[in-house]
Amino acid sequence: MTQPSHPIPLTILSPVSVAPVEPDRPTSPVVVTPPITANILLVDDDPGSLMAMETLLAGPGRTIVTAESGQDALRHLLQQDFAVILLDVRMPRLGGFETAALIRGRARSRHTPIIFLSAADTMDADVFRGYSVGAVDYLFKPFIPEILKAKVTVFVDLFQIGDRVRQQSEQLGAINQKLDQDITARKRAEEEIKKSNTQLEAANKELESFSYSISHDLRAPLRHMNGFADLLQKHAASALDDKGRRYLQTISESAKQMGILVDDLLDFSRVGRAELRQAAVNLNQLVNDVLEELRQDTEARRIEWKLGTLPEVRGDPAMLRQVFVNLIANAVKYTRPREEARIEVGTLTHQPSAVSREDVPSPHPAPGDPLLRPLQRVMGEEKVRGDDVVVFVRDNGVGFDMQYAHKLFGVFQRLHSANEFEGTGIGLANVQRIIHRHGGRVWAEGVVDGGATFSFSLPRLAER
Amino acid sequence: MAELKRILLAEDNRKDVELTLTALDEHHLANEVVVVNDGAETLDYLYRRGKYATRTEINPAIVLMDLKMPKVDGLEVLRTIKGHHDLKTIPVVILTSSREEKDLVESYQLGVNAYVVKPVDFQKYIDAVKQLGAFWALINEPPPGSLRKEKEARRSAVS
Repeated sequence: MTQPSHPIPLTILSPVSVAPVEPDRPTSPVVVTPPITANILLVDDDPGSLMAMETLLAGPGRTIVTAESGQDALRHLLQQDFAVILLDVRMPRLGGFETAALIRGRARSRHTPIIFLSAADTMDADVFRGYSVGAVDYLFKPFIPEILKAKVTVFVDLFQIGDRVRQQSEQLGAINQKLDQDITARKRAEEEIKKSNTQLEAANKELESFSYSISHDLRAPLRHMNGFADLLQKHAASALDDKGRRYLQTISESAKQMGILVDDLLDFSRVGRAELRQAAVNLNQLVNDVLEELRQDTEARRIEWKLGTLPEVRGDPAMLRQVFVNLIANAVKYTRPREEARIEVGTLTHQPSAVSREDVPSPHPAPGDPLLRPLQRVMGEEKVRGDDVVVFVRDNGVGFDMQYAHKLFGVFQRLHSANEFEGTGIGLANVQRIIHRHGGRVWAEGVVDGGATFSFSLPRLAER
Repeated sequence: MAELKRILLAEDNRKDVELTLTALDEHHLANEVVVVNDGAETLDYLYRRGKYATRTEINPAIVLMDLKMPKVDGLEVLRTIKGHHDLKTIPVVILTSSREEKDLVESYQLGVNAYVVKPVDFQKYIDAVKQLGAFWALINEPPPGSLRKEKEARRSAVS
């Protein structure tokens, strides 16, 4: 097989008649270039013979080079590589066999096929000698043009196919190298991800042990403050005047308050860390349970409940329960000044554009109802994906100034003093965290002294 | 035999010891308490090693134990007690500041008999410890080999 060990300058030419057969590979990344020009070296001391062969063998994709002596041929071989050499055996001075031996002696031309041209009376011994110095074929003068042409074409094709194979293997090599690089890059990226995951895990662990220490170590001193203040009160009650007793009382209460804050903060941190369970949750059932749970706070009150039909959703039952506990307990708390409180739990399930009276559970607020308007406004702001379930808890309580709405869901953020309404400001932060973890959103509308509506969205059950 | 007491209180914080004893005293149980200050000392007492080598073979009726203690923590002590063929019958109550779920889960997996979170509110704390002391040291019948309540203590508990 002709496979020049040295790169050959490429010339773009139209394909030769016999193009190497290649299956169609439309998606193959291998680029197919036109076949390389095949150089053919004709060596004969008879110019007439040279001219005859040149005429016979010329064609597209081929360059014919002629030499009238062995020395001349070797000179050409120094300058370029050949697909095939046709070498006359009988030449003066440097004969065909000697020339062939010299050609074979050079590494660069060692594999170039040589066809010996010889007179018809060539002895068998000469033929064997020719093969022994590296001939691939033997042709006897006068040769039949078709045979000469066919044989040369075979070698030209071989050369061009060999060249193409070399090119393709180079391209494949390049592709392989690129694949290797891609794989290395991907491995590196995977390692990076693994590394950041490890860091994240470490950070999580740290956070966990941090909250663990808070849980253990921060509560103890508070317990001691409260405990010893209490003991002091018992021990020295008679020696203390009202002021002194009030001071002690304040110390006790502050310690207790701090204890509640610590517990709330730990709860909040737990809501963020705890694994999210996934189950079908019947929200109606959940709301009923929550109302039962809050009965202690509601039984002495006059509250008109409006409970709409709520959808079934997928989520963490305990966490969603906490959402309703917080929202409904808030509604109960902030309607306390009302002689008759109205608390409504309902749902909106239609597209924002479809918000209408029918979407609000009965009894429908009038279209001009100030409680409905902000909801429509917010729905129009694309806070909700079309397919989400929206649940709201609405009350006619003290409401809030929309100017501070963004603060409502912050940790320990409150819009009322502890004297007006008790609380630590963790409930809505928990609500937001839980809803966000479920892939939903939460928002609020309110009017000072005109009630508040807290809404959240959750992905519909069928969606998952 | 100075250490012949019904309650073993394992608690490293002196203030907590004082508050707990104050609470237990409401049932006149303060004198029934041996206090050990860390997990290692707790194990020494139970295994009758070191300075407790000479204590009687009778076990306390109840071990009230903090979780976070120096040297050997409460969970480790619990693991050792519940893994020991003679000690595992001693009722152990974890009395701790932490309500971390993993502590709860692990304690119960190790076989704790009760788990009590110390309330910050002292009145609630007193109530909790009083009830614990009354139940485990007075009402509950401890396993054989434990120190039983005396008639005197029974009378005071009823009064």
